[in-house]
Amino acid sequence: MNALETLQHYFNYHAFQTGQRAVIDDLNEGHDVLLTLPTGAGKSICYQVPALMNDGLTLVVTPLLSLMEDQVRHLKAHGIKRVAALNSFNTTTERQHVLKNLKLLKILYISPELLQQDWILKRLKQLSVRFFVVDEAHCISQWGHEFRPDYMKLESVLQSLKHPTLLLVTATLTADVKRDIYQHFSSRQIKEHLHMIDRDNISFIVEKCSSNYEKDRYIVDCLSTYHVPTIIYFSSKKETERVSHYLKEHVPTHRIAYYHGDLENNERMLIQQQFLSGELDVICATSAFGMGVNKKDVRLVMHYHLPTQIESFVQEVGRAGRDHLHSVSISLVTEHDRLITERLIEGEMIEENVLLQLFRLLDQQTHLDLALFSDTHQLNEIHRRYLQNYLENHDIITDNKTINHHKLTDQFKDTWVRTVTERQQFKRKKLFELLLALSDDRCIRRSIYQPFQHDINKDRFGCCSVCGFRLAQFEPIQLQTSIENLTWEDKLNRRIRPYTEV
Amino acid sequence: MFRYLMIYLLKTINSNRSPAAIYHILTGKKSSQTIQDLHLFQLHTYYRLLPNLSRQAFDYDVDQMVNEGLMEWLNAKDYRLTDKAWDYLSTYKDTCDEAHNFERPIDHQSKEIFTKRFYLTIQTFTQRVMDDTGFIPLIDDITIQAFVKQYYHLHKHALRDWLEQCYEQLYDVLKTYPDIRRHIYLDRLSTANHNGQSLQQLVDRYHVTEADILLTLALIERTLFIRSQQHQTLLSDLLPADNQPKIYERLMTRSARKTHQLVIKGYKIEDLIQLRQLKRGTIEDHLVEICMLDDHFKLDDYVEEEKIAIIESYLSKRHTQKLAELKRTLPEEMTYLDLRLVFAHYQKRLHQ
Repeated sequence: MNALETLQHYFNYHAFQTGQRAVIDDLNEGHDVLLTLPTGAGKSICYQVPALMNDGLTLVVTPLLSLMEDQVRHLKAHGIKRVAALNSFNTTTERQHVLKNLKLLKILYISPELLQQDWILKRLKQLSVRFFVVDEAHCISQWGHEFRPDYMKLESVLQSLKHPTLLLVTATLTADVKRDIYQHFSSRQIKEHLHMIDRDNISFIVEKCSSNYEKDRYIVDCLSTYHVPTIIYFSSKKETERVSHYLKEHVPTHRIAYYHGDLENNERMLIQQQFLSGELDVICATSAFGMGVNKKDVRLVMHYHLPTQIESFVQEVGRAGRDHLHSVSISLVTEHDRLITERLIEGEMIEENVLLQLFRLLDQQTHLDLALFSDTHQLNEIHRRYLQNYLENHDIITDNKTINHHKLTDQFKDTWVRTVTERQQFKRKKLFELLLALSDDRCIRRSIYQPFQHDINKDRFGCCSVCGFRLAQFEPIQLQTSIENLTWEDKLNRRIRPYTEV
Repeated sequence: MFRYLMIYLLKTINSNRSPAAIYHILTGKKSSQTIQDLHLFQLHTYYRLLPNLSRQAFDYDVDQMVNEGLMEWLNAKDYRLTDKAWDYLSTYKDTCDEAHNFERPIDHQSKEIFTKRFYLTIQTFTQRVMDDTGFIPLIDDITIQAFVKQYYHLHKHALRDWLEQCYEQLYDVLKTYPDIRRHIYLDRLSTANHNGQSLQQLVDRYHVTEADILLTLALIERTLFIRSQQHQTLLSDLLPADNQPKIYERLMTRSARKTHQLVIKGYKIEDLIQLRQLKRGTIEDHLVEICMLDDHFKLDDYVEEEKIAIIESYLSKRHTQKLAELKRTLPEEMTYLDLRLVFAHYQKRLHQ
């Protein structure tokens, strides 16, 4: 089968979307590729099609466990069964099952952490790996908004795999990140496929509010006018619940639910599926919602709270209007939002005094128990891995714990502290950049897409509130749904005998 | 409904344990203490009735009961049911008691497999009958998926017949439940045109607690399971084959099962510690567990006969369930292990 036939056979699409074909051709010819496409423009097709056309295994490294599971489910639902995921969520049985059937697989999704385990790597080395895909490639860069220390070792993994063809994918490539990617993979010849990521069918609105109450009221008014598929983003789990209850009470015509990372896996799946199939209209969610949620007709994305940088904002907004129809992004901002977001940033980062404590410990001891150190200082898993990788990369610890005191110089310490402080400042700068982009003196569309590209497409339905767009100009097709109100007999009939309904 | 069950269970354990003991029974904790409680208070039928009940949801119901004046705390662990609780029991006896008063314990492992198979079959068959192929399976467990796949191939030419019969069966079961219960059950189902509601959504819609939702689902699932076991029905095909270990062995923790094998061969406690390379305390826990579950356990292999006689005579006079009291009152040479083993053995015979 050629590329088009593969697409039609497996995915039931008639034609490729912009950019896909060229990437697939380059990969098939063995060229390494760096790819940017806007969210929802079919990035995964770019490696799934070559993976299915060619012999050998395609490895996909992705940091997002939920995305991994979604992709596997999605492919299986299309009848593509030779796919699997390896990550820390696997049960032992599942993992053994995958490893036993490794030779039969066409596509294997794997987390960067597991890819570094020797026993897994040993198994992979025995196979012929045709493509090595790095999803969310911006995670390689310290300046990426989701830096993952484990990504720093991908190059050496790649080396040990007898050089499969490399594909790097991201939706958010800034100049800093691009430089780091090239530096990391300096031995490779990379072809660029960089596409405009701005979305010409989305209009942007920034609404200044003086309190949460005002935000709540604004959303009630807005939803009362617009009964359309809507996502509202929050930075706090509690608030998703509170506002969801508030809205249920005040907009009783809409079917509303909340979604965040504390919900049981199964419960989360149900909510997600309901939203996808149109059984829910409005979802109040944290950023945990949306990865791999491919719903075409989301009309409205609201931000009750802002994320910590433009990259996340662009991704979240990008969940609207994948069917290319007019969609709107509304950001509700108050003066003190900035404080909330700053606190978030502090939680993400290792603090300087933690490093100083670590140095004191390293000076005094011969062996380092990093797990214990992490527990005493209440560091999360990402922090712990960051520390471990940094110490290993600089040969401060070997064999997992023995400390090399002669490497532990003042210069080493100073550099590290400086790196951390710089990163803190960098994070603040990113936040400031987002706040600035959403302040009302410059075109909002231009401001948020500017870090990723020089120019932007002409808007199709109205630009932004700075350029004169008003919500009243938004005239989407409204949903005609109502809350199910049946007797139990009718309900039973509808559930078990769906064919009698038609 | 859950409220009634809680009061009933709290009444049964009669302030001898903290409410947490009930939580462990309902979720099916595999600990010596919980297994012991099952025997002591004769609560086998409730073991693992609600495997997915979260501690948070359970505590919420306990707090509610305190707020409503049904129970009160005497200190951090001990509680007392109020008169209001007793009134509650008699008021709702007619409507609730029947639903909870299980005749005999069921094999909960089989029930869980059966239930998962049932849910996935309904989802698959309704999707397929509507010619919808690309759906996300509700159950991730690959062994369940493999079963349903085979089952589907058996029935794929007569899906409507299967669904018609299934409809009749569900109708018969659901018509015996109060309206709110059957609505909850039907809303939770994932089928062709309907994704199941999350627990939280059901809580909001029906104004009941999460524990209540879980209990509703569990009771209906249980009825379907028992019917399929007792009569040859459409759904009997979904029962797992009976090649499982004996019930008492299944109740044991895996580690205790290993110790059990050695106990059968007659090893003494010092040998067990050596052979199993475990701490004395752990082996002692195992012995108590084995003593309760295995009818052939030889008590006098582990406790001297005179000691057994003394402890049993005390137990027959004083109906205590507190080990600390035994330890305080009886001669000092009685170890805790002696007391625990004899006590367990005594309780077991009492209920046989």
